[in-house]
Amino acid sequence: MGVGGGSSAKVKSVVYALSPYQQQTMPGLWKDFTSKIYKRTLGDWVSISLVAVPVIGTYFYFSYGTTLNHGYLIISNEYH
Amino acid sequence: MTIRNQRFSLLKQPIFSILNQHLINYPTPSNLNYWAGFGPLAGICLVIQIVTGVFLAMHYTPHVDLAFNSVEHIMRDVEGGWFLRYMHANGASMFLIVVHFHMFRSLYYGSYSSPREFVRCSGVVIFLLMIVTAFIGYVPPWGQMSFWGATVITSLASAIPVVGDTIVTWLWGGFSVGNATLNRFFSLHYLLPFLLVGASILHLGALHQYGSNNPLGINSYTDKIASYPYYYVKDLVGWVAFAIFSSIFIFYAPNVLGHPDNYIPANPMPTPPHIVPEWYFLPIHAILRSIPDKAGGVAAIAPVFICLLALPFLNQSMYVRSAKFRPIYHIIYLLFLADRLLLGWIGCQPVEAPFVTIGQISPFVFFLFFAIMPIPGRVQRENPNYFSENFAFSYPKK
Repeated sequence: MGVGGGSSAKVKSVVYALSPYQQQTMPGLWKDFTSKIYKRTLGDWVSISLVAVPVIGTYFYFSYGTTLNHGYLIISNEYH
Repeated sequence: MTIRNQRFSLLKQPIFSILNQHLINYPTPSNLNYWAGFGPLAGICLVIQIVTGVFLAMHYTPHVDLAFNSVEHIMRDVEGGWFLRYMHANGASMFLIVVHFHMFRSLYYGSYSSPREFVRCSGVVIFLLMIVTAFIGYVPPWGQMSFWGATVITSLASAIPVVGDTIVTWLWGGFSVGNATLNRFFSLHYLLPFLLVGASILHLGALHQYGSNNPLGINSYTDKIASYPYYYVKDLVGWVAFAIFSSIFIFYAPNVLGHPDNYIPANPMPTPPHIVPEWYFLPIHAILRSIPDKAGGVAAIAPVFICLLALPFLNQSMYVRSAKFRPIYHIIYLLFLADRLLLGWIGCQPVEAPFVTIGQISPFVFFLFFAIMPIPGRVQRENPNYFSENFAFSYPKK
């Protein structure tokens, strides 16, 4: 709970500015929803590419090669 | 509340005070995002697995002549038995999906780094225990894949020099996979989840010693809120999403994560044409197969867990933890994620010409990640505390 199991960190008391009747669940969830999704996905195309290109690229490279060569991908003389 | 009432308050009693301290009033960083919910969710998965498993064991018979039929009895005759079984079988996959998200979240935000090394190490032990529990849990249905999976995996121990064959005989309880094997696997499958509970409590205790990490990866000692009700409510969103996701499998595609051959009773005479492990074993299976030598392949599994254990000691970036503020590590992390997905894919492919090459490159990249791990930390140390200097919550001055 604290460093070395010692004193606990103090917990802040949360003070609400609105009454429970005025509060909304997840306010602003749908506001600019498409732009938010874009920012998280295609907007961060470098991160997406770093994961997707190796995975999808390898998958299609080997699948396509396998189909062309009747089940065997010829990538070097080793497989001739 | 009077002083007398305070003294006798339920939350101040011996056991309850500890539960209160760790589960209700636990000081949690105020800026945790939804990814932090996978830890508590993994705990819920473990409870679901134990509860459904206990009820399944009431109707299951661990004998080679009766095991398969007793599972069918659960499916057809026991009231709600199909639900219990599908919940348990798919629950194992769900549990491992949740734990994978939990581990990759930890990797992204650097939650494993100092001073939380022990949290990381206990987590790896839990993961190892989970894998063993999942493997031996695949045997009790006593279908073809149960039998041959047990045969293949236990036979791996024969690669150990000198004592290998003796270990295999000891694991089998005889000279082949049979009734003794089924009984001991069932017994251990009942025992290990309770060890998992113990290890999970240790994991939680270790985490709470220094407090939870947060997405900014900085000290949040001055900005804590109670975990109840704030994070219980926030995690509830994830729990509902998880319940919907797992319900799709349980009610609409209960066998999609299994193998059809396991609906054929175990038979030692015909070997299935293509023995494939469960999806969660595929990366380890791929690493095992990447070395064209049985002993070498088995020996390659140990470094996987050694690397996972060594991670907090390899990472030198103690003050800037989160990948959000470590661009080099961010790139390495994403490539590691891609490699992890590739290992999963390659693990279920046959060992043929197209797949052999990538099956050898992927494990190499996996180990390369751990080998180059100290580099980003070293590079960033040239600019010490560049983040915390510009932020309100810096480390307290000594």
